[in-house]
Amino acid sequence: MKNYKSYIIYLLIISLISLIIVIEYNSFKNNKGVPGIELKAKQGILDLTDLHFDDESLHSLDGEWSFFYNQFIMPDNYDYSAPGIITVPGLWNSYQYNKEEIGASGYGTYRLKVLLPSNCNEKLALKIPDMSSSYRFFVNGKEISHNGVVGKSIEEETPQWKPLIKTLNTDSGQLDIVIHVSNFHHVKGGIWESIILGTEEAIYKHRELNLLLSFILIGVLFISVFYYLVIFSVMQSNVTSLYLAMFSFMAGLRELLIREAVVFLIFPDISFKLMSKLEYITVPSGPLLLALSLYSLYQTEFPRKIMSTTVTVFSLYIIVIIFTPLKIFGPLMHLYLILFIIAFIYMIFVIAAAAKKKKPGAGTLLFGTLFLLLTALIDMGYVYKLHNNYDLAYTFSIGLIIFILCQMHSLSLNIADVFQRAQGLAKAEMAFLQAQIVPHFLYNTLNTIIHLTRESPEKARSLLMELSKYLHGKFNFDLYNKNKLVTLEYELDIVKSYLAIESVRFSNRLKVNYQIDEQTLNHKILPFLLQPLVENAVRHGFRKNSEDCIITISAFVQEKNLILSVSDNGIGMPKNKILALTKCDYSQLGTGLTNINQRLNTAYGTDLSIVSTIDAGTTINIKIPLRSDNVHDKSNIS
Amino acid sequence: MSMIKAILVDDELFALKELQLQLESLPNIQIIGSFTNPLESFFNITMLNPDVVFLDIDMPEVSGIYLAEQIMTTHPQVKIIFVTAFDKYAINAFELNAVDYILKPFTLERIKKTISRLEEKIEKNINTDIHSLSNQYKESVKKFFIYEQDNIILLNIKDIYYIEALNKFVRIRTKDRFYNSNHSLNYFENKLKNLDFFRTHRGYLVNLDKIAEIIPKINYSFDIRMTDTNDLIPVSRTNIKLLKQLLEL
Repeated sequence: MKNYKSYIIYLLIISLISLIIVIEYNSFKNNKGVPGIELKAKQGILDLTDLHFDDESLHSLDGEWSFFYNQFIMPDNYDYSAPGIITVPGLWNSYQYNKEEIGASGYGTYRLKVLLPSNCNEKLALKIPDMSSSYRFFVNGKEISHNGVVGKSIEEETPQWKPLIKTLNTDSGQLDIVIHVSNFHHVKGGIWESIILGTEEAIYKHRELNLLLSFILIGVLFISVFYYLVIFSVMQSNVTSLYLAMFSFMAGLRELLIREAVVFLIFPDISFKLMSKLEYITVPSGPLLLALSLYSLYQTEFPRKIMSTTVTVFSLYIIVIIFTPLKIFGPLMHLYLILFIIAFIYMIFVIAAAAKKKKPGAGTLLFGTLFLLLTALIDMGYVYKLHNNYDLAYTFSIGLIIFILCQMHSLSLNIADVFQRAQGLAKAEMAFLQAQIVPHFLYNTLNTIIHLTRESPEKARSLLMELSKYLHGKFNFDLYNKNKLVTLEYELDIVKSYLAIESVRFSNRLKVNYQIDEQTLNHKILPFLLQPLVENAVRHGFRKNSEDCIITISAFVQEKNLILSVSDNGIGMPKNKILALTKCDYSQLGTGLTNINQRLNTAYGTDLSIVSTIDAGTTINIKIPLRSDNVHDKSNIS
Repeated sequence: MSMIKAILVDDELFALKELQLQLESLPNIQIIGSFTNPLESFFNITMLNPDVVFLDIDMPEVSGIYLAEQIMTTHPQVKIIFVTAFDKYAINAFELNAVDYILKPFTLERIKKTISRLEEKIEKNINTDIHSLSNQYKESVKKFFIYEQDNIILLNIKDIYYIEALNKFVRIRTKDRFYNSNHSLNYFENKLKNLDFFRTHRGYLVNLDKIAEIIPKINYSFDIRMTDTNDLIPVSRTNIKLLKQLLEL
């Protein structure tokens, strides 16, 4: 990336903007959303008489609620002397009953008396979150809502998670809230989120804001699914986009199921079982699909073994979710969240390695993934009650939006890069075809032969033989199909004919050393790799008039690489040309070297290496990895 | 009409012999010298005093075009005919079509035609100006011809430390002394393009191999110190990054 600096600035701006969004969103909710947070329920009573309700204010009914374990108390029972006190929001898992923790399963009654301000003329409403795992909600003796069917055993209970909003009759100046909660399905029991009280307007506004965020997210995610699928449909080789489409789909699905559970707007009767399974599946599929997409992008940085381990581990969990009840797959989530973090951190290192090599789009992707991990950690912190800031609970969703945007940007850069390289390759191929016919070599040779017919017909004959051999190699149009490979022996034969001709032309001032390891002769290589290098070497070698031109051609195997090397004792290659090659700036290079380097790059991922001293000579090495899977095209000719 | 005295220059022996054979068959050409070494031919021109030089273009050390330029400078009366295997397309690219040329492999008919045109030129005493042509042909050279009073000095490129642009001429620095040349610094930059010379500054062209060290200065610019001579050469701020990259190789 040329303008790497501007790129970093660009990243900083994105991160700044997203940080501002997060902070603004939360402070908005803090300042205007839930004021008077210090007013907490004490011993089952919440005194809000001094509170002034306006259109903006929301109050969460947090604090100490009365709790009746193993009892469903009906609201007409006015006995407030409850056997226990429990914190809402919170889980009842660690609630002590008969000096033992009651655990997740069970049922009970929550009760809270809310004293309202005397001059409260506003219409009030409650935002009731989903609870684990079903509930009946009574206010002032009347049942106003329920989720599923509460029960005293797993058979009796029908769980449901569906956030609701209910308006209240507040004539009596107080609210007597009784909630029956039962849980036999989940590993966490109780009222796990705040119940929020406010004027009807404020409550709906709160919900609308949440819905807005959900809709934006779902919109972004499903549009990106479409975008990735379109890319995949036109470029089937780009599997990354397919994985990313699936990733976005899973993220979008998750957004449908959590928060305001938008899914109920579309499917009001969706079963709890399906919903909980789907919600859980979206979690392991995240790192799974991310690993697959990263592997397809950065194969050199992402070891195959680690990729397949990650995929196996998370696929296993998806299978467990599909085939076991919530009671089994639910608790496993704790273990998996740790694996999730490990996998994520590992992948961040993979992307960082790619970014270090300045792979296109890796920088943006690194930022997006880091941001996603950070928000995921904040989100997990809320789930595990490491912090109780409800407003930070959905930061992950914002992390997702930023991540998807980074991902799109990264993929676009990737595609642009492939496109540019393809253009460069097309240009190089043109040059390649043109460079194959070197007319003045041909004319010079014919000129020499014309003269030799007078002087030594025998020499002329042998020179013509070599010329025909050389031309056979050059005009083997089969080889111009870019997928063809030849044996090193075949390539060397053409080179030998060429050098035989040149040594006659230059009256034996050309000396050639062959240092070819016999075993290398049968290795398959791209055609026309060696010839242009040798032709260059001869041209440069003869720039020095006074001395003989000495060419050394060697081939050997070193550390699973086939090394082909061509040296001359000629004028040497200027430093600016070598620099241009390492920078892949092909404008300054001859077409021969450009073409070889690009083809090496495409087929083997290696570069030419050049060692050169002005006036002393040049050595050019070609490195060809011998692992067969590094050669993309397997069709051969010999 | 008197015989035309010709010198032949080609680094390929067989090509030289062939041209010689063909020309010998013509009645009005007298070959007074054949050379496979272009420099040798140049230093024999004064002594041999030819009417025409048949020059191969694609030769090592000094290209036929640079050599032709020097011949035109020192012996303006001598005519040049290029003998080349470059095709017509290449000839056009070098803008050499103003000069006469013979394409290899050549026929006797083509040579006869060229010779008759040559006779016409000698008769009318038309000189072809190829100074401008040499600028077009951006082939780097290995040796420079420097003219000092009555001497011609052959300067090896690797002996040049740097070239400095002065008011109306440039000054070439070697280990022991300076040489002056009327060519511009751009002319030298073109000729030295592929030989590790670097334009550190508007007024300086420096041999990368002769740089001893880069010295940072207080105002964030740099000087380079040359080996042996210890001369300090300024580097403009825009060029320092590329220079460092080149030196690291």
